[in-house]
Amino acid sequence: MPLQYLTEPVAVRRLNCWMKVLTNLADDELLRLMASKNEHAFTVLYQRRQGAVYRFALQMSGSPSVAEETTQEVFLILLHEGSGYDPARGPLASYLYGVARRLVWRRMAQDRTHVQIGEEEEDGRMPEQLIARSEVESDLVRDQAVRSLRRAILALPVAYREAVVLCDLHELSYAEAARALGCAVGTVRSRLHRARALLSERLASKRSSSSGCLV
Amino acid sequence: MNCTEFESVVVDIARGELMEAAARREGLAHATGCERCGRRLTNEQRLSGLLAVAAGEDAGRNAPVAVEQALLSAFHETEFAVRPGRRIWWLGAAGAAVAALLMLTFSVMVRKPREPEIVKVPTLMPAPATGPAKIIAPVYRETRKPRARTLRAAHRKPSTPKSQSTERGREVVTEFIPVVYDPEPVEHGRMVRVRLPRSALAAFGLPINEQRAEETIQADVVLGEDGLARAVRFVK
Repeated sequence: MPLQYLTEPVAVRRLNCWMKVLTNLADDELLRLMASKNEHAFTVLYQRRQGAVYRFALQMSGSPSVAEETTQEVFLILLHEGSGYDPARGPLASYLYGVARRLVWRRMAQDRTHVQIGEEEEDGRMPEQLIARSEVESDLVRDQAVRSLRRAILALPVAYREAVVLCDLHELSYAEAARALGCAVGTVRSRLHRARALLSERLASKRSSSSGCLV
Repeated sequence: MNCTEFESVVVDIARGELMEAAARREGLAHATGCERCGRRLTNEQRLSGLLAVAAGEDAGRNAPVAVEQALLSAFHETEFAVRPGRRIWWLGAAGAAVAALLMLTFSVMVRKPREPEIVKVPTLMPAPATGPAKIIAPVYRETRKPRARTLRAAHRKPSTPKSQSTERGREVVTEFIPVVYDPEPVEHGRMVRVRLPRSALAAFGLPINEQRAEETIQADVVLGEDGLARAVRFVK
């Protein structure tokens, strides 16, 4: 027991040190280590990239279960087909977005249960209408506004939705989004403009309809 | 900037996208002067604000821990049939081994004489023990010209006179002159090509031009199996 007591902290210290080293490595290097069956490298890579993949799938599908499955499948593909990733074609993050995108598409084509904007019950009041109200009420309205926005995003055509999710929610640059989507920067830009115009229209129409109800 | 031009930059201005400072300045100035475009910019900014709130809310969302556990299980079960790093290592090693083997084979083929290094030389009969020394005039006959003037040249298999004259130029050689008195005739030996001072001709009783005594001359020396020189012939 004393021996274990003495050796365990050393092992833990070494592991922590190793994990710190891995955390500072680039994705490509982690991927190489992962291919050498380094579990810690896989863990670090997963923890670094899973959030973006999960959120992307969630924002695209609106379904936590789809997001969960997609995340799992994306990293399984990375495990089995990691050698298919070519660093020369772009960063790993773009590759993962691309894989997640195809999986979400496939899943959505199977389900076709995505939410329609008109089907949801809502308050409809936008934050700018409630500036002078109490903070709690303001937070409530803001939450409702965000929910409306999410529904509006889910109601967008897929190509426009991808542009909004990547550029506005994930804050990727046009170039990064273009790499993830496999299209030109100009295409991403025009899709984003069109998507935002659609969102503005839909949110404005809700606002006006809810105003009418209030009157 | 007019309204159409403003429409092309309004989203970038609202999103705070990197753009030319002049274009941004002109766009903002236009939005100040144009009521419609001003409203448009305000709406875009509100939308950006709302999207930022949504992004902020989502920032903390992560895949459930169960996903990581399932993936770690899958990781342990994965065979990693294709390992980029190792594959490259093996490919490199295999390539190097094949290249080395090919080079070795080629080298052996080039260096290895087609026959053993022993060449057949004419039987050298001992000089008569009595009587005055006989001066042998250098009687040259044609033979092939060796490609390299090194010992390697002597290792080559002597070829036929026909091939000598056709393939590689011609050279003229004397008959073999015994170097030492040896009652045993030399049946086999090794022949090496060397360069000797022209004065060496005199040692064999051959006439030399004193003015060119310092120059060198090529000679083929026959070595017996014991390594001693048995005969020599001069090459021109």
